[in-house]
This record gives sequence, structure tokens and C-alpha cells, in this order.
Amino acid sequence: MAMTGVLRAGFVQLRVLDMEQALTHYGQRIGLDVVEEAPDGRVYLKCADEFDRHSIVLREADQPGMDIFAFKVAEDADLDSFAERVAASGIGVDEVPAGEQPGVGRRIAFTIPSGHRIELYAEMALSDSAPPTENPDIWWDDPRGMRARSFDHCLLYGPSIPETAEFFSDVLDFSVTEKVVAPDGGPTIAAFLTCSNKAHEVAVVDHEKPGMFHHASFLLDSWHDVGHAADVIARYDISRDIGPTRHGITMGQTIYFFDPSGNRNEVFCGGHRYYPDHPTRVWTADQLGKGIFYYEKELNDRFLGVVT
Amino acid sequence: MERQGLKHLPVGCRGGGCGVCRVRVTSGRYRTGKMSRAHVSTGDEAVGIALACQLIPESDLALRRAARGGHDARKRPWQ
Repeated sequence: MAMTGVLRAGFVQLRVLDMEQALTHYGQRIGLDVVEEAPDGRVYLKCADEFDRHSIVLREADQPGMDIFAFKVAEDADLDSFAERVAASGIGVDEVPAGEQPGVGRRIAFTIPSGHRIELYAEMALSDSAPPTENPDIWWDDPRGMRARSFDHCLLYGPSIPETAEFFSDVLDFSVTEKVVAPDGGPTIAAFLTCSNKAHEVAVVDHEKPGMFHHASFLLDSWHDVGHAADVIARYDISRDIGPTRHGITMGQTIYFFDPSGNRNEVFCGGHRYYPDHPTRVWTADQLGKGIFYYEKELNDRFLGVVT
Repeated sequence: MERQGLKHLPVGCRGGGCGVCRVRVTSGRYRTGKMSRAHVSTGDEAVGIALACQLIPESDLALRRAARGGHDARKRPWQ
């Protein structure tokens, strides 16, 4: 197996102001399946082309945003070795016992320099509605709404971006696929990081307040499906941020919108693939508009400033 | 306001979450939808603070922007 250690973005736990509205949004509009409404009020969801039982966890609260972004590692022993490495880097580690989320094994948890709680886990039960593995159909239940195939990545906003990128690289063995640097040799202000073949599993952008959530992103099949997502957004009056458009950074084709509590979502397709021998692609801050929105070549204030 | 092309207030998430459209209502009657407590505390609510995207007027309203320090509209050095 060429891929070891951290495998991929696994699940994100988001806070929502109104669960019923959130379930309509994530279930009917983006097209996720509800796996379980747990007694503690959290609701677990998954996308059609995911084997593990959940990838999105919603928790009703009086302020939106992100509780946890968790990555799956290859094996249980990785949790101990990463716990040691995180602690050696000077960051405290706690352990969340198995079963705190249904179907999920023990997790290790820590707060990265940007102020976000990151967790690692090795075990998650397979979903009852996991994709078939024998002569598999493309989908089993009819796709709904935007027809999301899988949860893909999150973008996080917070301070200390150089330190955060270094943490992901040095401690969790991620690679920086692309970065944005301030003018005149200034610091890194945004980093796109992967542990796999994807253009990013997580991205971090410089922001004054720690621990802020920018978006959770879902993979679609095609550029045509991004257009269909725009139709869904228009038909159901979903709050749209920007798109359909394309990113220079990662090269993905995309549209951004908000859930009913103000958490941003993205659905996208395409984008380049990463291999560990690739050099980091570097953007200068004066070209950030083109990097983020390749066609418009300028950023909207909302994309830079609006976070939960 | 957004549909009418009025630019007096910034438009953010439109869901009561991000806080960029925070206002103080100085006169008039209104209800509100759900708003993030990170941006509107119970004390704020008592003195007429609200997020414009969640404001449902029940009479003519007078309001002004009540942006807070924090993430809204404050530029980073590289912007």
C-alpha cells in the first residue's frame, strides 16, 4: 500500500441553528442520506459513494460553525504514533473514547495553531447503505438534489497559517500542493494540503479570529452536475455565494452557497491530481483573485470575510 | 434590501450565521429568525441589535449598521 498514515478527510461535525432546516438542506438539496438521528440530538449523514457510515455530523446549537474536522488513518497503531508526534510538537492531545460517535472507534484530538479541533480515527463501521462491491451499480438509490458523490475537504480560516501548514506537513505527513504568499517574500497566507492524490484534503487561510469555518465541500461527477447544482440553488432559493466558476488553485469547477444557518458549502468537480514528487504551486497575493476565481479574476468580499 | 440593490449593509450568509449584517434597530416593531449567539447575545437583543437578514419588520423601522470588531470587514495586511 503506497498510502499510509493519514488517508483522507473523514468527517466534519457542524453546528446548525435549526436541525429540520439543515436536514432539508443537506438531505434533499445536496443529496446526502440520513444514517441516524442519535438520542443526543446529533444527526449523522453520508454521501452515496462512501463506504463508511457517516461523513457529516450535524449538531443543533445557538451558533453555527465547525466543532471537529476528522481524518481517517490507515490503522489503529497510527493513532498512537501520531499522538506522540503531536505531543512532541508541543500541542496537547486528548483521546475521545470509541463509541462517542456511533460506529466510530477511538479518536485522538488536538487543536492546531489556527485554532481548529482536528481529530484522527482509524475505525468506522461500514454503512448499511454502502455502495455495492460486487458488480456495483453507479448508484443504488436514485440520486437527489445536487447528487453529491462524497464529502471531499474543508477550508478553515484562522491565524498562524505558516505554523498550521508546517504542523500538517511535519507532524501529520501532509504535502503542501499549493500556497499563496504575501507580497515581497512575506509569509504564507493560504495553504492547500493533501495526504492523498487529491489536490487538497484541507486548506487553511489567514484570518484574524481562530477556529473559523469557511466551507465543507462535496464532490460531484461533472461540470454538468455543477450546473445542475446551480439550478437547485435557484429553484429552492438557497443563499448563493458565487459560481458556477472555476478555481485557478486546484483547478476545480465549483459553486458556493450557504446552509440555512450560514455555514458555507461547496460542490465541485475536477481539479488536478497530486503526487508526492510534484513541486508546490505558488500564488502571489496580488494574483489571489485569479487563484480563487479563475474566470472573474477577482475575489468578492463575502468569500474573504464571511465565515462561521 | 438586497433585491432592491441597496448597498447600505453588506450581505453575508443570509442565514443568521456570519454576523456581517449586524444592525441596531432604533425604532419600529419587528420579529427575528434564529441568529448566531456569537453575534447577537440576549443582552444585544434587548437593546435592538439584530442581523438584518433575520429581521422581519412589523412596522417601518429605523436602523443603523452595528458592525463589530472581529471578522467582519476587517482587512488583513495582505488584502
